Amino acid sequence: MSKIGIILTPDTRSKAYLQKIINNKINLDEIIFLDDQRQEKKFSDPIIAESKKCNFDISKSVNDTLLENNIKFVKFNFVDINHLELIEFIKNSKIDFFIFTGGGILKKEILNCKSKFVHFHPGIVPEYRGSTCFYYSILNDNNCGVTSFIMDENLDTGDIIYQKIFEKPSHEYIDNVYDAHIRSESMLELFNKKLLSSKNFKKQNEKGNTYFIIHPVLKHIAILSCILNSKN
Amino acid sequence: MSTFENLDFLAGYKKSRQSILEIIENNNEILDFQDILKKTSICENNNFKNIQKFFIDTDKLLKFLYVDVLNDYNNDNISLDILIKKFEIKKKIFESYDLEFKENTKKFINLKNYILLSLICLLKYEKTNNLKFLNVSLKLNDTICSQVKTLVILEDILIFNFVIKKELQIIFNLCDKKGIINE
Repeated sequence: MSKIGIILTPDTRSKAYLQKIINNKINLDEIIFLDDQRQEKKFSDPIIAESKKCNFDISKSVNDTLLENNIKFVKFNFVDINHLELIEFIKNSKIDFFIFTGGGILKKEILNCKSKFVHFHPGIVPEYRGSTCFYYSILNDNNCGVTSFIMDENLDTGDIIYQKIFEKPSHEYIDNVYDAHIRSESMLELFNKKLLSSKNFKKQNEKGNTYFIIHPVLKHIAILSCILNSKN
Repeated sequence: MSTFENLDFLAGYKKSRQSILEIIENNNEILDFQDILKKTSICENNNFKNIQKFFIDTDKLLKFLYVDVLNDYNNDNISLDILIKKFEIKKKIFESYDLEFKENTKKFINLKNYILLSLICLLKYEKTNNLKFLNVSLKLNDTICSQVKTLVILEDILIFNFVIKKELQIIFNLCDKKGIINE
C-alpha cells in the first residue's frame, strides 16, 4: 500500500483540500505545512457562503483547521517547494506520493527524491495547460476539467493519473471558490478510487495548448457567460 | 489576478478602445484595409527564410508571418508561437533575435512589431478560433494603446486602426455567442 502525504500552503486551495480530507476521514501518512506567516486574506459573506455550498469554509485558515482538529503536522516557515530544508525532510520521509497543493515548477533536486508529487491541474491536458486555462475551457467548451498528474520538470506535462470534467460554475467566484472546489473534489476521487495504488499512469501527448494568463476582457466574458446563463 | 467588475468592465473596455479610435481618426484619413495594404510594405518581403542567415530581424519575420497567415500557408507556426511566448512572458518584442530566438539587442520600442504581431494573431484567431491568439492580441493592443500618441508613421496608424476595429468586432461577436448583451 502506498504511503501518501500532503504539502499544504496558506491559501484557499489548501483550505479546501485539508477540510475535505478531514470531513471524509481520510488518513494521511504525513502532513507538511509551508507557512510564510502571510496576512490571511479576508473574504466577503457571499464568497464564504458559496464556499460552504462547496463543502469547505474559505474563512477558516489552514493553521486553525490543523490545530482545531489536533492534526499532527510538520511546519516550515517558507512556501518555496524547492527549498533545501524541505528537500532534506522529504528525502528522509518514507512517503511514496505527496499531494502538492501549490503551483510552480519543481526543480531537479526535489524531483530526484524518491517521493512522487501529485498535482491537480484545473484543465484537461494536453489541450488545456497553464494556470488560468479553466477560463479558456469555459469559453471553448462550456465546462471545466481537472487532471491529476505526477509532476515533472516541465509545466503541466506529467503522467496522467485521472481526469474529470465538471460543469461550469453558476457564480463569479471562480478563482477563490470554484477552482479550489473542483481540484479538491478530484483529490477525493483519487482517494476513493485508490488511483495511486495502480501506479499505472498515462503518458501525455507532447503536443497540446499552453494558455497564458487570461486577459481581463476574456476573463469577464467567461465569468459573465457562467452567471448570465445560470440566471436564464 | 484581476477582479470581476460585471458588465461595467466590458462597457469600460469598449469606451476606452473607441476613444483610441477617435484619437486616430481625428488626425488621419482612414482607408479600408485593402487600400492600406496597397500603401504599405507588409506584403513586400516573402524571402524571410532565405535572408535570415545570421540573426532574425523581427520586422521581416512578422511580414513573412503575415503573408503566411493571410494565405493559410502555415509554413511557420513555430516562430509565431515563440514570438507569442516571448511577449507573454517578457511583455516585449525585441527588434532582433539570434537564430535560437534569444534576444540579441536591447531595442524593443518599435511599435510596428507589436502592431504586426497583433494583426497576425487576430487573423490567426479568425481562422483557428484558438483563444491564445485573441488573448495575446488584447495584451499587445493594451501596450500599443498606452503609447498611441507616439505613433507617427501613417502605415502603423492605419494598420492599428484596423486592428482595434477588428478586435472590437471579434470581442463583441464572442459576447453575442455567449449570450452577453452589451449596450
